[in-house]
Amino acid sequence: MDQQYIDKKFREKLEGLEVNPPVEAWLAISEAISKPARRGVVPVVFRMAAAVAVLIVSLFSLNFLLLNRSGQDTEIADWSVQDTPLFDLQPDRVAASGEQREEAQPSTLAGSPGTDVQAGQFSPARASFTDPGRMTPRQGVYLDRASLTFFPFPERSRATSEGSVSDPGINALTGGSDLMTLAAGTDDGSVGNNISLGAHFAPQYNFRLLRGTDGMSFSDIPFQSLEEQILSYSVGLNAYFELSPRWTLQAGISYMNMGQYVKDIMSYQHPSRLPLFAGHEGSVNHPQTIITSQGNIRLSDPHLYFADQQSYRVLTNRHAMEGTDVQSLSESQEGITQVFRFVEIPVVFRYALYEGGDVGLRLKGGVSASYLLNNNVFLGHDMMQNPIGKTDGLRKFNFSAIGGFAMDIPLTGNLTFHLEPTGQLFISPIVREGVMTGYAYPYGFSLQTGISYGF
Amino acid sequence: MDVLKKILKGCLQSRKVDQYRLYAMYSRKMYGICLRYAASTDEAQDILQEGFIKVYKHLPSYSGKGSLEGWIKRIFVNTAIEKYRERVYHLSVEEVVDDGEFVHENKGVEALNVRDILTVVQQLPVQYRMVFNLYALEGYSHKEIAEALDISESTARSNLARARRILKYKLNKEFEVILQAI
Repeated sequence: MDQQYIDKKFREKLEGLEVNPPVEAWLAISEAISKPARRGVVPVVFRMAAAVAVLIVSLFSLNFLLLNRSGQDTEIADWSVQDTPLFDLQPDRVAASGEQREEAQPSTLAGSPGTDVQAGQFSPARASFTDPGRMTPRQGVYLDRASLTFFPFPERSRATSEGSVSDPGINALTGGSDLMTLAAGTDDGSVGNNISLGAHFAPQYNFRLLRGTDGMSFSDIPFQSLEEQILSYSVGLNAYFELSPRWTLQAGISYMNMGQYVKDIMSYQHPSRLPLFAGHEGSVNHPQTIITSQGNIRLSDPHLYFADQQSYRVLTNRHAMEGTDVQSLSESQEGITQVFRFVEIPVVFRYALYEGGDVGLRLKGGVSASYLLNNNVFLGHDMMQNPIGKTDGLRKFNFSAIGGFAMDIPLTGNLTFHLEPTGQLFISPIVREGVMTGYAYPYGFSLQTGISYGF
Repeated sequence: MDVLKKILKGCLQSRKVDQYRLYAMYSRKMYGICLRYAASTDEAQDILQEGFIKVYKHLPSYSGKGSLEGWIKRIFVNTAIEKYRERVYHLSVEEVVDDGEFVHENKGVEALNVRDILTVVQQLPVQYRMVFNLYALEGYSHKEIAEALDISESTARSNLARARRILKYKLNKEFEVILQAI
């Protein structure tokens, strides 16, 4: 009698026991049942990102090397300009012997056809020393003692030079363009001594790219029409290190929201707002899961029951629904919003395309490492209310590629306003392999607005 | 039912989305079973993973007749039995005192929550736990248990009796702790 009682009681307590398994369980199962052939396939996005990264690093390294050479030459040129008449300069000779100076003859100057070269009106772009033995016609020393003023921005305001020498290598690389010629010279012959600190705020438009595995995973759920972009924001602190007059390295730390809106998910609740599901010890064991392109949502609000209007994305554990009269529930709201919050450390190179008196235009590109702080799911579009669940299987660490333009507008002596249309694309799927039905790569377009202070 | 057929069809075609759907439908319940047979959550997770891999592998053999949940559940119970067989356990049954004076009409079962009861079951020596689960919760006969665990019927009976005594002892101990806390 007592034995049967024990058996009966344990059966009552444990027979219908349901416990959420850890996320890692599905990861392991999914990996085990996946086809081996899929391993080792490098996504196109990875390859593209790697190519861009190599290109950026190569260009930067090359340019950095050339500008270092430029700095050495400039020191020699400045020394020689101090006490020598205009045009009394020949870099190679000066470098070889500081005492020996060979006065440049007017005949050694070559200008564009019809150019009348005179002191104070010397055009760096069009005139150069010609020494066939050592320089091409487009290479040489450019000198305008009277009027050369470089980079009118605050951080560049000191870059006014009475004389400077451009690097022949750079001119060879760029065909001797005006911009590169100007870029090669600095006031004190050194580079990389400017630091600015700033902050930014960016309204951000978020969505994701989809890539199915083996071309089959997204085929039966039209995520493209069932999910929408959302508007969020990012804020951050930045430090700018001027590596050269052209190149600036930007690093910092940002807080960023990303996510998406999932359409056509109807939610229902009890008319008296009574809980529909109960868990063990007061915890919630919600019997439903929602599949999205950016992970599977594990629901936690016991007051809500969900149903899919378009596709079979809401999975319900039928056993747990026994005794719940869905027909008696009242419709609540349509759609849910997934939000992922990251802290990220971007490393971005900025290249000056144009430097004018009122505005400067830069091209920027780089990478960002981000760490997932938390994620939440909300009813409707309202991200201020209580979350109703979380997305499972998200990667904690992510990497993304950053690109865009930056407009720098000087405000006062050291203060600069930045306006930067920026694009950002995750180069790794946001969901760990195996959890999702394919790969989703979040991206965002933002308009970063901020200020920086130059030291 | 159409939805379930669609999921099964997708699983047979190795479609990951349908494999996940099937997992989402049954993983909670199966994990509950795994926890009953395992001594720890890690062991339960091992059984869960192995069980689902078998489900996907043997799905072509599911005829469609009978409950899918029942078919899956049998796979998990068999997986737990196989796991038990694979391991060489040295039974270290703790000495159990005569439980007569501790039994208060098994009030402990009523008072304790599911997690505590599960913990008590998990703390049983592995062979006792297997026998108790198969007999009390799966409805196996002593003969079936003996065949499954490769033991004699009398051993199965004595294991079940010992398991019950240990459970009663532990539950009353837990209940006393609760009473003292109050």
